Amino acid sequence: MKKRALRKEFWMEIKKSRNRFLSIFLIVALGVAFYSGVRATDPDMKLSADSFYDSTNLMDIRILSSLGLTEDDVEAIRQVNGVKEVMPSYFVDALYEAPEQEMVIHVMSNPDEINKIQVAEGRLPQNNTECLVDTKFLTDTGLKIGDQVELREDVEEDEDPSLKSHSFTIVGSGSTSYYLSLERGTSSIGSGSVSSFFVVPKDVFSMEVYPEVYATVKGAVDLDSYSKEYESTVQKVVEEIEYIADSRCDIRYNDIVTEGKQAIADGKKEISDGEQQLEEARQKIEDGQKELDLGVNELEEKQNELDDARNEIADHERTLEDGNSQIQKGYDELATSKIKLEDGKNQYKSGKAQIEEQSKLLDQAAAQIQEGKLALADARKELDDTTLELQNGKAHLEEQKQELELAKIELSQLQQIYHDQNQMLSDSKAVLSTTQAEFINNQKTLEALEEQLASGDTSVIEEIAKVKAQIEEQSKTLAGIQDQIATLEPVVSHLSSKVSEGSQTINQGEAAVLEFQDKLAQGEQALAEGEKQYVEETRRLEEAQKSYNTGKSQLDAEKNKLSSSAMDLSMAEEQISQGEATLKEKQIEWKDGQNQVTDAKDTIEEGEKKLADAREELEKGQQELNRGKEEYQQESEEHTPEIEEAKVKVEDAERDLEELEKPSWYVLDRQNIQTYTEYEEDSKRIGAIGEVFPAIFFIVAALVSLTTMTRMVEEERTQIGTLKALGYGKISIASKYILYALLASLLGSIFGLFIGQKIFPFVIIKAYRIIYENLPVTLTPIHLYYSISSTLLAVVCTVLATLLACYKELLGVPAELMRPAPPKVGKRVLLERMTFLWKRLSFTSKSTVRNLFRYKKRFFMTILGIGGCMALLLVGFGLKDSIMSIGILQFEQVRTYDSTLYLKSNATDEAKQNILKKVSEDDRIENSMLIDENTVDISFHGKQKSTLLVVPSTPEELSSFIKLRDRESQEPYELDDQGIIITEKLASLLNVKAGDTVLLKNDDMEQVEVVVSHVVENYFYHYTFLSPALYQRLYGEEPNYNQVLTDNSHTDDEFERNLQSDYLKEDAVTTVVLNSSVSERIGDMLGSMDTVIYVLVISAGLLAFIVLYNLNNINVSERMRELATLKVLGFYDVEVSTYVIRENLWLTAIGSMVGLVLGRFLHRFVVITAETDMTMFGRNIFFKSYVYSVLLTFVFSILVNMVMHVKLKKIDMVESMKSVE
Amino acid sequence: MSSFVQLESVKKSYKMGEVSIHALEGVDLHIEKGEFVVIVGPSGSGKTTMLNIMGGMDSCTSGKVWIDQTDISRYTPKQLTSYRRDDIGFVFQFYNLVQNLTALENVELALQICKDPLNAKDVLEDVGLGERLFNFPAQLSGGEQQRVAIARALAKNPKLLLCDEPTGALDYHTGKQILKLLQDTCNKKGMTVIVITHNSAIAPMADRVIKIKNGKVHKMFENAEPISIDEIEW
Repeated sequence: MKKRALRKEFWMEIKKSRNRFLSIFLIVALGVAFYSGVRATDPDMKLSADSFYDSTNLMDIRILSSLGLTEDDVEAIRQVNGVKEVMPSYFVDALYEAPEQEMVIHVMSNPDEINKIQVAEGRLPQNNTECLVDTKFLTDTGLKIGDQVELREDVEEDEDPSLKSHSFTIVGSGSTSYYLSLERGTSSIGSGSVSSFFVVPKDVFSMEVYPEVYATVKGAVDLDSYSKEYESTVQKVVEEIEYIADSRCDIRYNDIVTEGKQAIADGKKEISDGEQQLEEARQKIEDGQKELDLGVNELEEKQNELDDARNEIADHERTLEDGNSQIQKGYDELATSKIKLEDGKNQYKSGKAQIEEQSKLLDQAAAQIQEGKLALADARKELDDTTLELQNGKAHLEEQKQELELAKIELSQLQQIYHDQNQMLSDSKAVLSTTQAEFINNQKTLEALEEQLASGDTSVIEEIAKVKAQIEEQSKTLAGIQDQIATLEPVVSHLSSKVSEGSQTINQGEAAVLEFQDKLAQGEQALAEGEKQYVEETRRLEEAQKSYNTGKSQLDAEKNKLSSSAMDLSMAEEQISQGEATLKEKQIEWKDGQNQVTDAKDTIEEGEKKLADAREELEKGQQELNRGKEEYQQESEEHTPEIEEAKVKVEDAERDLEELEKPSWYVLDRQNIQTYTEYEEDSKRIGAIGEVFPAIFFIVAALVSLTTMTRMVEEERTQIGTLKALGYGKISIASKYILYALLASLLGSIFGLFIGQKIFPFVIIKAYRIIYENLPVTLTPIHLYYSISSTLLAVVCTVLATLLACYKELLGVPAELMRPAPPKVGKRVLLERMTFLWKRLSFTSKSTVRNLFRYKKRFFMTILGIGGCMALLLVGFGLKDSIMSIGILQFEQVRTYDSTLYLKSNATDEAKQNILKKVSEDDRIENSMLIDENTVDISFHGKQKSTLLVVPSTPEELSSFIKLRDRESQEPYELDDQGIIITEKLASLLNVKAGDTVLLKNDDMEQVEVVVSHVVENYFYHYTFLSPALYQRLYGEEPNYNQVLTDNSHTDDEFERNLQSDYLKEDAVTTVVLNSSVSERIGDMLGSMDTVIYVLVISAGLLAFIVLYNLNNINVSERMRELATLKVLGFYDVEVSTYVIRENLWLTAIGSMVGLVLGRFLHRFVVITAETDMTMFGRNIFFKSYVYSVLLTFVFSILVNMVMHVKLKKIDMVESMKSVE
Repeated sequence: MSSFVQLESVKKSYKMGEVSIHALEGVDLHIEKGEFVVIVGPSGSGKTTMLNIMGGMDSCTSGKVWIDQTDISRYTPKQLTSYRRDDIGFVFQFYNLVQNLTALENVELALQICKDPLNAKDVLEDVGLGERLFNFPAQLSGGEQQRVAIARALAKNPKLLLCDEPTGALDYHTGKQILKLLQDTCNKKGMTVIVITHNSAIAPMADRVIKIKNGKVHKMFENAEPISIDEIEW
């Protein structure tokens, strides 16, 4: 073989330069191990989880509906293209009263196909009284398998519980891939976060519809859970299901609306029935009352009537008494009347005789009158003749006027005579009237006497006779007078005719016409007088007639009187007999009356009795009515609120139904499983660390390889020259070094990738399994990709570096190469120009300074190596600081209160006040405040995070419990009514700054807009602070305070335990959380990061060591001659070492400085990457960490220097001096 | 025993794996104080080994090395270092200056560990480099560099100045100048100077000449009348 010598030389070379080979091997191994190992951790974590998911058949899709899912829905989902298995499932969140806290339990139906339970102990439940519990539940409560647990559902009074039974025997414990970590999600009841899950048989649930349906997707199980392929495969099916969702929702909605309407109608009917019943009862009572009132009135009336009757009877009795005496009187009167009657009869007889006499007289008077009448008729005739003559005379008037005058005188004489005659007549007549008057008087007297007679006075009878005689005389007188008159009257009339004759004589007197006229006038006058006379005569006759008539009528009257008195008499007789009869009747009546009174009295008595009975009955009736009223009152009091309630309920139901929105399906994939995504994030975080850290290692490793190989080539410069001189080709010569590098790096890579991919993922995943404790396996396969890529990278880097190193040397001509390389030229450094400083430096310092800058490449390499190491250490320690400090920062600086009392969600205001009172009176508690804390979602520009909304009852006092301040400037903020204050991590996740407007959404999907006024320091969870006034304004209701923060006087364990148990006894308190224990728990939780940190620290140390050793090695070998010279000059070993070490220490110092700066940036980057969503790590590195990092770096450096010291001691001066460089 | 330097049957052998190489096979010699000694011999004759043993850079396998009444052959490495530091000055063929230090500094480097040093500047002026105190070795010629090396050795004020082929890398004239410097130093300061060379032509300038051959002293003679280097030509 042509190049056997070369090959042999190659192996010899490796053997000879073991250290160099090893250093390349190690640095490459470290680089590759770190690179591939840390990078593989991300996929390994996912792989480990995926295998767990596959083995428990974790669901791919979860379908929820706001109104539940029916069997039909399930069937419809089953038919969807791409769906493999479908499993409808029930669940409900219930409460378990643990001795120290109220736990929220997620109770679910036994998942038989999907989300299979990994049974850790015992078995799955087989009947309705058994359950399998979360393994965590047993650890939390200390219960064992076989124990009994009692659950309580948090349902409204009118709601039906979702579980048929609430008491279970624990028959097993286990875990589910649905919950990878200790987190069990949130709940709307109790504390709001689920603490454990229970698995019970399906039959335990009494729900009508399924609240959720799980499904798996065909082919998904073969894909890696967190891969894009998986996501897109599932996404396709999600879309398919969403496609059918609408129509399914419509069906469901219509069903519910119909059912709801029916139920409301039923409810309404029931209400109206109830109301009607009540109304009827009320009506009945009213009627009863009315009847009763009527009865009372009637009774009253009856009583009155009775009283009246009684009075009446008394009256009747009195009347009867009177009647009796009247009857008696009647009889007396009757006797008197009979005597009077006898008298009357006698008077009547005498009266009759008188009348007969008088009638005779009257008949005579009548005949006289007849005569008078005849005379009158003659006179009339004369008068009429006269008149006629007068009329004739008038015709002769003109002629006779003269005669008239004469006649007149004569006439006046005649007239005188006439007048005398007439006077005589008048006197007669006057006598007549006087006589007539006397006659009348006498008649009157007679009447009186007759009356007297009638009254039984017999003494007057004589007188009567006297009077009657007078009357008779007078009647004769009268007749005489009347005769006189009758005689006179023809005289008068003769005179009158004489007058007329006189007149005629006058007329005949032929004197003058005028005289005639006068005569005529006299004639006329005479006529008028005649007429007058006639009239008077007529009147007189008439008067006579009249008096006759009067007499006649008087007689008739007497006669009538008589007949009437006769009638009276008979009537009186009749009356008397009638009176007798009446009296008799009266007597009978009286008797009857008497009987009636007795009867009436009896009736009244009976009536009284009846009344008494009636009264009694009425009283009874009243009582009954009262009872009825009372009953009604009660019933109505009882039922009215019920009815009101029912009404409200129906109204609510109606409103609900009206407001009932069309249901929608929520088709969720695994991204909605909290731990699934959290795990992914953690995994990605490690992935992110894997992007940065290994890169540093790799760069350093590559640089180290480069320097090492360069040095190697430089060292072998002479040999290269020789080989070249001998005629070897460039490739042949270079291949030695390339092969050398290739071999070292390849071996290192292989070693590194195996070690790295086994150790790093294992250690890190193991650390994470503290959090994700349900993860059963850690898979750490060798990844081809990372193996090949890292190896390739390492090998290429090293080989390229070697090529680069060789290239320079290979260009040289052999002669030049065979001469020692000119030593590096000494140079003045910048510092020397600052003479004042330079002068002050000791000689050795000067040389050190100059040496430091002499080998620039090595200088920077060393700085980088040490700086990198320092940075890694700083990141490691800093990470620990950041993580560990948050407990302190959070609970000693930000949230300075000591404990929280969680109040029952349904606690009354009074109960809350009582707790507050107790707290304020407790001298162990220095200060306390009521707050409202609950979970809401906050979103900004489409990003949404869940946050704890804190409403302090007194915002101005909040600062004594929770400091609201800026992390960097420490400027304190006040919570005002203008906006909310949110915590820093939340703000950075949402990319929100003070002044932005965000949306707050609560469970009911109602959202409000609010301005962020400040962003404050906080490390755990996301808090949003809101003043009560603003809460009121945003939500239109008072906040429901549910926690009491307290500031305690002591913080030692025993004190806190006592306080805790004291307050847990209170009914209204569900949990007492101590910040010290929270702080501890968080510490434990983050402890898993420790492992990662140790990995970093150890790796950093290794890196530092290898780099320093390697570089020192090169340094020493490069300066071998110089060091030998020093030795020759008589420098002790220590002095020689110091000469070199001083330089190294300087390099270490400078490297540390660089590392500090680098480390700070790296730390910031890693902290931000490694944070979970819920936490913010501290941004600061503690001073002691800087110290530790620097010290450790120096320790590594010194360690290396110690090795160097040994090496330096071994330097053979003779050999060194001899050798030609 | 009265000689300043006396070697008694000094042997030195190296083990190279299985093979044992005998560099010195029993050397006996003595040198008086203040002598200018030239040791000549062919390559591989063991002259450098002998010098190294005398200078405390190496130790012999057996035999005794008396330097100024003291046997250094059983010295510990530390004692040897102290011996080098206080009593010996070395001058090498390739100067072995510290490249990163100026001429002056190179001298000072040696002085700072010395008990009783001379003034560096003076010494450099003595060797004729008063003008080049602040030059780095790379800025000096070979002769100048060797002068710095000599100055460095002399400044320590050693009992013994050992020079291993000091002119080996120098041209003729420069070599002559260096040799002259060494001779002058010896003469003026009474310094004992031992020069190794393969050039026997310069032997006449020495007070004592020692010829080495195959690890043994072949011939040693004193030269009563040494001539100046200026008079020697080769």
